[in-house]
Amino acid sequence: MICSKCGGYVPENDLRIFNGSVMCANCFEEMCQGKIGKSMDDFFNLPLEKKAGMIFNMSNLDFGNSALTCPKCGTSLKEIETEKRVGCIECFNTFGNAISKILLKEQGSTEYLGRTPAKYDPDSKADTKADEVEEILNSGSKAASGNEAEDKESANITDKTDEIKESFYEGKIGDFSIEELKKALETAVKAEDYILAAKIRDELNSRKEGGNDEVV
Amino acid sequence: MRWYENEGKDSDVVIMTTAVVSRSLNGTPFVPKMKKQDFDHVKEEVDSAMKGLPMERLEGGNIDLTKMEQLMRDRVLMTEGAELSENSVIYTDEESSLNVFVNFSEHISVEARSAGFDLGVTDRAEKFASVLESKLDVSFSEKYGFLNSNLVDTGTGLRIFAMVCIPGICRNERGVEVVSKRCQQYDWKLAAPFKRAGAAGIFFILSDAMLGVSEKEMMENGRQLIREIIDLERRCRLEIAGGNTAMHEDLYARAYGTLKFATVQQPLEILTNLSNIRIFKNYLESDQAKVETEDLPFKISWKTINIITGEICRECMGDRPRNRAIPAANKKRARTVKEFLKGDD
Repeated sequence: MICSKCGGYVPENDLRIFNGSVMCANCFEEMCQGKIGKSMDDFFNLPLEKKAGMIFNMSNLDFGNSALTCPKCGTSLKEIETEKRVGCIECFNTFGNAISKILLKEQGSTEYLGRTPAKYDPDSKADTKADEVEEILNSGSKAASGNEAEDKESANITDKTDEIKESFYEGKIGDFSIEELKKALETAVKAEDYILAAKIRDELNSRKEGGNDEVV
Repeated sequence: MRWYENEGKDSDVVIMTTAVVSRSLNGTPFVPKMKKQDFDHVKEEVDSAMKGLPMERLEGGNIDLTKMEQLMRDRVLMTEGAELSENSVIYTDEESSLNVFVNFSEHISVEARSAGFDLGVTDRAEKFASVLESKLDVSFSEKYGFLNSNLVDTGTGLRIFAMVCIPGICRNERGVEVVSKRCQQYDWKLAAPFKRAGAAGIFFILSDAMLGVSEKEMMENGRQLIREIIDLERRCRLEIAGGNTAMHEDLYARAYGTLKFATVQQPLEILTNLSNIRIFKNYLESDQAKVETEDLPFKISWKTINIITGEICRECMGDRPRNRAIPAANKKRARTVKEFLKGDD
């Protein structure tokens, strides 16, 4: 038989039974002396300050792993759990499971979907790739002028959507062919005018249902 | 010309957009466990990779006061020397719109920023990071992506954030809650950059996760989310100002008067006045405006509004509240605001 308190083997001739639970002689004796609680009811019956003390002490319990440290940088698991920072790459191997759990909690996923790094070429250090970098650096000041170009484009799109809108309200939409309607739909989506886009879509659907390519 | 002197797109709502890419080197301990020789090694490696690039190199322990002030004005640094150790190095371009921080919270952080709403900063930071990746052996694993000391920076290593001013949404009941929930749906989050910033409607909208999402997807989510917030804010502003035009016209003029002539100004007071200006200026520029702009004896541009907002936010993010409240600081701040407003006169 197995002791319900310590999990040790209990010879049949030495077992104790209390409230239907099998115990070894030692555990039974400790229970009688009050060292082991008889059940969870005992915990609820304790005075409030004792209960608070027991709960408070639970945070200091050592679960075995907190003493684990990274062999390379000496970072402990406790440090990683509290500061959410690792000390070196080796920490990712040493505390793989714990880090996965933290990443899942903090970022909601452990799956990497990003790009791979640009190919490392140690010989390219001397090569400054000046053109490429200058382009990146200059794109900052170009952003403002780029915005002007974008603004012009968006102004064009706005003008076009205004024209389409007018056609709608003047009842001229029937003059649009399906191709023109499709283009108008694209323009409306680009201009983020979703109400107009929905109207064009409905018009397109109704034509498909009616089987007419063009309204006479 | 500095980066914040550009007008920027959608600058009525978005003050600036920033992208930061973090990378760490293979074979060197991460920042929390680094020793002097490790810091020196990272500096040497980055120096050789950056050799010949048209960027200014600033050694952390050797930055003079004038340069420090300029870096703070350019929002490269938040406080005077507080973030700088002698082991750190900053590379900055002509406009301060692309900066590389070495030995700060990670080995290398590439930061690109732009005025207004401009997600092109992500491309700039990513491209520059790729150039460095080709010259430096950066830590990467197939499982977790780019490995960094900070576990929240592990993955793509890319964080995008936009600083927005949304007083219109904030004045609606549960407006901020709605925006916050919307951000969560896109895996982004809404955060106040400093205490009581929310009272003036200043928020950061920033990408949250670096795992489970690609760089492109993150950027697309950001584009949609921020566009939605901009549209919502504009509608709120028009509704607020259009609902009681006379009152908001008065608030607009009063706010400008206080900014222009008050000799002592608290940060929150300035930001609230700027919010009042933003609300009515949007209304003035809309089709439904029934007020003639010629009737108003002053002009203030979005660029000036954003420069002042950015400067005050920088001060609030970097300095302690106690330091911000001292009378001399309030006087100096009022003078600075007046100087910025002179530009529009």
